[in-house]
Amino acid sequence: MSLRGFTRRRLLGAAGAGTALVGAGVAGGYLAGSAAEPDPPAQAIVPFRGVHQAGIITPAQDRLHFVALDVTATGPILRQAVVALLKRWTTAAERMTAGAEAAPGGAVNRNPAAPPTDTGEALDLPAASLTLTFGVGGSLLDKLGIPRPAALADLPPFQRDQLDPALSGGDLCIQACADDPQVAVHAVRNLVRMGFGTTAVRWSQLGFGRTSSTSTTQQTHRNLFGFKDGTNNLKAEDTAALDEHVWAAPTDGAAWMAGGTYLVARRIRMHVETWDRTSLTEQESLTGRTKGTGAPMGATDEFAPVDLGSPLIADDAHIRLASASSLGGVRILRRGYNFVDGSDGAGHLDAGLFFLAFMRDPQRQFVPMQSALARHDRMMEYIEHTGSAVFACPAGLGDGAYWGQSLLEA
Amino acid sequence: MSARPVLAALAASLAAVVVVGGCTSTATPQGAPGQPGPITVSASDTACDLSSATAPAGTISFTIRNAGSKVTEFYVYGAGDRIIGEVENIGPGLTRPLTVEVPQGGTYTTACKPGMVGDGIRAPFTVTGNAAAAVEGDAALAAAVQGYQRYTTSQTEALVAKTGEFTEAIKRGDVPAAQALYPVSRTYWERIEPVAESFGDIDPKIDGREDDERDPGVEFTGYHRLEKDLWVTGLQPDSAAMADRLMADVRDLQGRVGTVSLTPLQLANGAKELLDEVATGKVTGEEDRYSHTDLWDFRANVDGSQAAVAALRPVIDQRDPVLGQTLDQRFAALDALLENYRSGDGFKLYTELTPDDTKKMTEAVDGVSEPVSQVAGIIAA
Amino acid sequence: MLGNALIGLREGLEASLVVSILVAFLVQTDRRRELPRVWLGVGAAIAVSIGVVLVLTLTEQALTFEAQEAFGGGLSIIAVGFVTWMIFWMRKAARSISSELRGGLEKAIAMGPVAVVVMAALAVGREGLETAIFFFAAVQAAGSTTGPLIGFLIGIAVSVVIAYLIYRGALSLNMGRFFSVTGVLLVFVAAGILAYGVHDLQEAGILPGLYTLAFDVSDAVPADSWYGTLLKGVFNFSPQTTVLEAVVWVAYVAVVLTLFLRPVRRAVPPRSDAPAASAV
Repeated sequence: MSLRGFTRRRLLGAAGAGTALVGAGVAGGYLAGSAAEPDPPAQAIVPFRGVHQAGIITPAQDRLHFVALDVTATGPILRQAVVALLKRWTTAAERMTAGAEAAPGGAVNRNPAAPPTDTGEALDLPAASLTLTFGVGGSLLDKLGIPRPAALADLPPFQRDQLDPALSGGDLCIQACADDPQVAVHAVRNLVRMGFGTTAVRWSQLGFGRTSSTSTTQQTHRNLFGFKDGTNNLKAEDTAALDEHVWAAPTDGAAWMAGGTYLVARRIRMHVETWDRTSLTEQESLTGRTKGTGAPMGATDEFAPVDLGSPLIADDAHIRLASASSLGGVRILRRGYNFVDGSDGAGHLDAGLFFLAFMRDPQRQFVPMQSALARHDRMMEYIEHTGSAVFACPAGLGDGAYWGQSLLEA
Repeated sequence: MSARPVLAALAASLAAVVVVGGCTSTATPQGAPGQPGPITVSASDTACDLSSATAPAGTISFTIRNAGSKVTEFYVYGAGDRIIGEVENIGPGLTRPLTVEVPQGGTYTTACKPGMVGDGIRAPFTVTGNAAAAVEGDAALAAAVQGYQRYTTSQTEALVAKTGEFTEAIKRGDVPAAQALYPVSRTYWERIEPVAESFGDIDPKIDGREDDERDPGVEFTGYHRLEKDLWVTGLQPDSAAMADRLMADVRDLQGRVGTVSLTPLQLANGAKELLDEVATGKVTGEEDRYSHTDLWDFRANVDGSQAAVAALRPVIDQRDPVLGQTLDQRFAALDALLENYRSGDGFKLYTELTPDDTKKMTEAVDGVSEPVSQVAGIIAA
Repeated sequence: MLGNALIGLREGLEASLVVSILVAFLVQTDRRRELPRVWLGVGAAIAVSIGVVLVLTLTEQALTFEAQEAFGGGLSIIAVGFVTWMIFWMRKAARSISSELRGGLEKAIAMGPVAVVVMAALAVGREGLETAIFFFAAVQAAGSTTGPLIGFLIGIAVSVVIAYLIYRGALSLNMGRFFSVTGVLLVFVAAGILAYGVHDLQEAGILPGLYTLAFDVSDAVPADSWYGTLLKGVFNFSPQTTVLEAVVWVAYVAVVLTLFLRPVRRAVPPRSDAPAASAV
């Protein structure tokens, strides 16, 4: 392959490339409460291979395109077709995260009689910190005849769930995050295209304005209720906590998941119209934080520890119900995004929070948390869960490895 | 073996290589538009000037004159620096010819390399249009075209016969018989639709929809007009006349099909277009909105696509063995899926399908369309 | 003038080197009677090359680029087969001499008359077409300027002189050394021809990897310098070598040179206990 035509734009040299290195503070540093957060350079390239998959503890990018796919291939060719596709995907994903086109030749430099190998809408755009994170659903393991790890069991029904089957589940998922929405969409679109005949889109979700910070270098962003979301999130810098709450260990019951993590995705519709008619007092009371600073009720600093003994935090406040101490120390790494999917045809916006969280065992972490919230959280009056899925995201890839190799070649 | 036969054998083998390797006739060299003769290239140690930076597709001739002091080379590159043609050893003061075959329009690159080093002095070179005559050069492709033309001829014959039965039933006022014949006669039309569409004026007359845009004074005619009469409004006073018009249009098509000369590329694109038809017209229930016999058309489009791919198959297998296997697999999956919707001699009505059915169909059609879309590129390569 | 002379020198060397070694080999082994066959092969190759070019010119046809490259590349690779064969004649000859069995030499290295003709024809013919086309271009230019033609002919003449000197030098060696030295030289020449053939096939698009370079020393060894010309003419050395070329070159040299230099095992044990003296 000639290097000509490899990059869809000139890649920055090592010097000056704002490569997002987990744990290494991004230039600019972080000052608690500092108003201005340095924007990552648009050209930033997040390494595709590593100990863990990118896009989990990578400082959360601003934009999301998440897709869940079903494997449509059946019968004896199923496994072979999936392996072939995952290899193609890995090659393309590695190229695209480096800012290159999905395949050599790409959008314009090939045989004019053939459809271009790259769809082209990201020509001239930088890598924009694109990360592509891959996961498998329990349903795929069932199809392949591989026993599911206990952690990958289907979630139980929670109170008030309004799940739409067409927005739930999936055999495979790809989470594309980038600082430019077009870059994320381009990546998903090209991977979906490669899958035709082997996979088909089950559902997909666009998201914007990350609602969680996953690094101490990031300011906490706000969800569509206007509240800071993810203040007490696990942070990339806290490796001990990540090992305890996020990364699956070899002894957890599935060797192929060692170093991986489980992803819970919930599409949470927010009734923003009714919320917006709610008084500030009520909003703050049922959240448990002040709207302005994000500090817990009664405190002034966003990062003040939550004093669950404080009478200022209501018994059914969201912050209390979801806190680690009321859940026996359970914590998760949240990485959600806001969404507005047009309108609902009934005069309201179809808006909400696309909740994404990574954890070591959804059954021991997400399930108790969500069942407590579903039963007691007063915020439930304003939200409904319309989509749900759990995926196993294996460890990061070493050189030459492909997505899902630890599972399919175990 | 004495030396004499050896000599003869040597000469014969040399000649064979030349013949097999192919010659291009440059008796009428193509130069720049409106300028006869080859394109002249004035090369020197620092320049590479072409008398024209554009030429029509086909055989393009260059005459390169080296006025410099260094030995130079002249290249014509395609995409990704694939060498389309080159001539080396153009010594100082020499003039050398170069003839290249460029069947496809696009942007190419010319380069002189004084001193025979580096990337040379490059300039873009535009080739306009497409040379359709590439068929003659490739026996396998020619055979593919012939095979498919036989297919279209036989399908057109059946179309005329079945449409005759269909229109006769309408003229008799036999609605049930006409309703039964409607999807059957359309099958032959749908199989060769891309060919029919290549005659721009026929398709709207035979297969136009009621809400299609028409020039003032042009009526809604053809299959779908009669479909509406049969299923929605009941036979109209002019139904018989409409039947006659359809018959005349179909015979017109038959007369023209024999004259059409398809290129392999059109064949490959036709295979893809048939599947696009399925995705946009049949899976959606748009085409046969009154009779809901969309699955007959669906099946026929897939047949037509398979026939085109099958005709090209020897060439596909020669150039990309893996693609052929993928096509087999995906077509088989689609066939198996369609078989589930058989009902008697025909198919279930579109109205009997669930959203889950149409989702499965979309997935299967996507699965076939992706590899079929690769065929044209392989044929043109 | 110089540029054209260097082209003549390069093409001439590529063609005449193998021929001069072949002639030296026949002379060394007392088989001058076979020399006419060499000249027959050379003549045939030249005649066919010129004939093809004439036919093409007269019918106003041009060979397609792919055909020309496939032709040169294909013949080069066939030529490698013959030269490899010759290398092993050398080896056999060297071994036979070392065992002082001069009488057996004739039999051990008997080669068919056909082989001699084809060998000579291939050595010349693989580059003959390109040279003939060039020669015609030079002749056509002679109407306006005779420089290119004269330069080209000077280059050819120099190449013939060099080939003759190599021939004389080879003859001045004693028998044993002659075989081992020319054998080793031929290994490198053949490897170069093979790499050259591979490059032609890459240019024709028959083999991949035209732009995957193993190295590029065109700054240090310009292709149009006299030493670049000599390297190219004798060893087919190209300043810009693709990975595939480099791989086949190394593989060929590694295999053939090893086989050529490996000590010979006798089917019949020697009468004396002394090991056979290696000729190398």
